[in-house]
Amino acid sequence: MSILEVKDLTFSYPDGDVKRIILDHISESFDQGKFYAIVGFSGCGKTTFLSLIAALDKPESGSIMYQGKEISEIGYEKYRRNHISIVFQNYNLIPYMNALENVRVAMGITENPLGDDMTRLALEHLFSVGIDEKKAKRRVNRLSGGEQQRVAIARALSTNVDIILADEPTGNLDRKSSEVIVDLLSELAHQRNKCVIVVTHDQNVAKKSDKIINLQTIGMKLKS
Amino acid sequence: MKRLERILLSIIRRPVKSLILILLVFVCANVISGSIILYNSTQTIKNDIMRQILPVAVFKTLVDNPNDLSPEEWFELPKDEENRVLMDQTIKSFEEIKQLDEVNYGDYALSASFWTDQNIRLNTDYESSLNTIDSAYKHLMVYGVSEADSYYFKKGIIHITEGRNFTDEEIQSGAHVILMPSGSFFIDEKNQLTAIKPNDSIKLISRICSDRVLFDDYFNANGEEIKELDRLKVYEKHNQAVKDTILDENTVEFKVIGLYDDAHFLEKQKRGDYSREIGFSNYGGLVPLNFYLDCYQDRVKKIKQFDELGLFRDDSQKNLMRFLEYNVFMLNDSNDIPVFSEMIQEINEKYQTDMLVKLNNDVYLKIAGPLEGINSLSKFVLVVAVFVTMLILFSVSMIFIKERKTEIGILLSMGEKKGNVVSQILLEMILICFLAIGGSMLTSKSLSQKVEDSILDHKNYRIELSKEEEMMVDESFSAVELMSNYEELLDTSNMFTVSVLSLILVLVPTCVSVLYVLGMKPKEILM
Ligand SMILES: Nc1ncnc2c1ncn2[C@@H]1O[C@H](COP(=O)(O)OP(=O)(O)OP(=O)(O)O)[C@@H](O)[C@H]1O
Ligand SMILES: [Mg+2]
Repeated sequence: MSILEVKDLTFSYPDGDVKRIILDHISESFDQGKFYAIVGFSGCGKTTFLSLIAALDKPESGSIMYQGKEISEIGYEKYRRNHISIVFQNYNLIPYMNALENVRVAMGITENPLGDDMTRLALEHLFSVGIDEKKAKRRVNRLSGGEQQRVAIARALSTNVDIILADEPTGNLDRKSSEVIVDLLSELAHQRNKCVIVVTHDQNVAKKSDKIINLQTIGMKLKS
Repeated sequence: MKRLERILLSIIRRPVKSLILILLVFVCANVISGSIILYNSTQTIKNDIMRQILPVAVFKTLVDNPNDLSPEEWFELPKDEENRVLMDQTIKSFEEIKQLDEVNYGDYALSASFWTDQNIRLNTDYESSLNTIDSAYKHLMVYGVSEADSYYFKKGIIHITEGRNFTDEEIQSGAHVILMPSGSFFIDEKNQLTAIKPNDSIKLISRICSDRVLFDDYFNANGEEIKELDRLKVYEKHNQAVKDTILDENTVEFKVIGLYDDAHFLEKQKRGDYSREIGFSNYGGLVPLNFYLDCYQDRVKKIKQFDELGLFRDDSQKNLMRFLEYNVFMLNDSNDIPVFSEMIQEINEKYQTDMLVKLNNDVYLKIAGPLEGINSLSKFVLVVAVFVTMLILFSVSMIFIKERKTEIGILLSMGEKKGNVVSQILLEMILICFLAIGGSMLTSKSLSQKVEDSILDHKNYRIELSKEEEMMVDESFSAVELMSNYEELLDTSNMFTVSVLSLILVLVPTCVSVLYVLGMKPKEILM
């Protein structure tokens, strides 16, 4: 069974007096251990789609099921807390904390069992994405963009969730840093058995993915 | 990471913002708790003063003893017949006022000097005795009182030291009984003193003379002041001369029933100060007013007769002027004052006495005036401070929350409950408040002290009360004491309550601004 299943997902934004349909009856399923790339032209609704499966917004109709259960039934907050992690284009770390503290904040919020020594665990996660202890104890706004995005990935990893969502995670990075991040994400899918869904414009990302979902071909068909 | 750690991190890692908040709350809390302390303590003292000011009315009349009048005012006084009529009317209105339902007690006294058959001295002290002529040349100052428990007894200023006080019957019937100041003496020709005791008798003589007999000088040919024994001789010579001018003489024998004294005097005496000063303009004997009035009626009649016969060689001997020594009316309740005032108005018109009533409200304002100032100022400051504090704190916490929008969005995107985020911000605010309010607890007292000092110069805070005004306050009343109470109140004001109050005042606007978090959508913030 797929870990995440989307059926007939529809979403529209109000545009003046009329509704502008962005996602129209989209169905898709996602499995654990796979790396998905969502592509499509700018403004086609990639971020919107991601925000729906991240339970940051409500679909107009259709269903999103986590392990066969409606996420609205699980509860959006609880679903976000225990089943997904999000990596953003602009990292979104808490600026006055250091890397370690940022990871520990996330670990403090999830209800998933993590183990006893949170600090050691957090440091291990940070280490696994290439952040050493010295950098871990530096304020995040004194880290480079690439390093900050690694911290964000370590944070996503730390809560022990099944699904990791990322919206243009390499959008703000140079080529080299991008590659590192993409490798890390694909590693999460292939070695840690996560379901990784990445929205991207980056051809490199798409190439490394197991499946490319082109929103404009599946979602725009019915659009006038 | 536990929520508490998150809270501490947010306070410590954002030191400038935390300090700004602490300072802001500190200042506001100071103003608020300072004004609460001021308001509270002034309110308490005001109530204290109110309690000590009796619901009392005192009348200023045209027949008051003109002791402290200026020469111009003295000239304006109603004279002779006019004085007599006014006194009659005044006594009638006083009697009517005493009967009012609102009045619990009323007393007034008239004063006059009587001749006596012996020389009487009211003081053991020679010097001060010399200054009271009445006490040394067969004259005695006598006060007619209208109540058995006359005002200065009731108020506890004077008390019986030996014998007893008047009975109601004696007062009613105008009995021939007299209360004398303790420590008064008869003086014989050899200047020997004999203490006056209960059951002694004193003859009061009401005399009408045809002419004025002038005194020989107090000084001898060499310009030296004559000695007391010699002075008695001067008096004796004078009295002999007076005897030749007597048109009518009415002698009444009075029995001394008791001696009175005031605690004040006894204390002063120990320090060698023999000046006696109670409510009367002079120390003297007390007799029932009715005796006094009968005596006066008789005198008025006779003077008229003698005048018609043209027997007076000196006009001053026809003088009928009489004066009120004091008057005081205690009401049952301060709330009766308005009704009482109206009744007084009617009585005043009925008897055309033109009396001015002085009520305790006036005295209250005089005593509590400066406090009242602080009290209403602090009330004003409090209201403004509460309003401004709420406004400032609301704006500032709003700014700070907006500034932390991303952080809040991150927490929400990770599935943190909104309630937790809200309570985190509130707890942060409470922690900061504790620091700031704790600090203000140390400073607000001295702040309010300074404010109060600058408005009310404590050390020099003295209230001079007039004789009538003193009648309206408790004997124990002392403005200086009240002010020291005030200092104590500043000390013991319930700092805890004040702090809790400031805390609430700080939290209300924070809570309102925190509601903003409930409407936040992480998608809009982060994506
Ligand atoms: N809150 C909103 N209200 C109205 N319209 C919106 C809102 N958010 C996005 N849109 C519109 O919806 C469409 C889809 O937006 P979305 O952000 O999902 O595009 P996207 O595929 O992620 O584009 P990009 O590649 O540029 O990030 C766009 O045309 C956008 O203008
Ligand atoms: Mg987008």
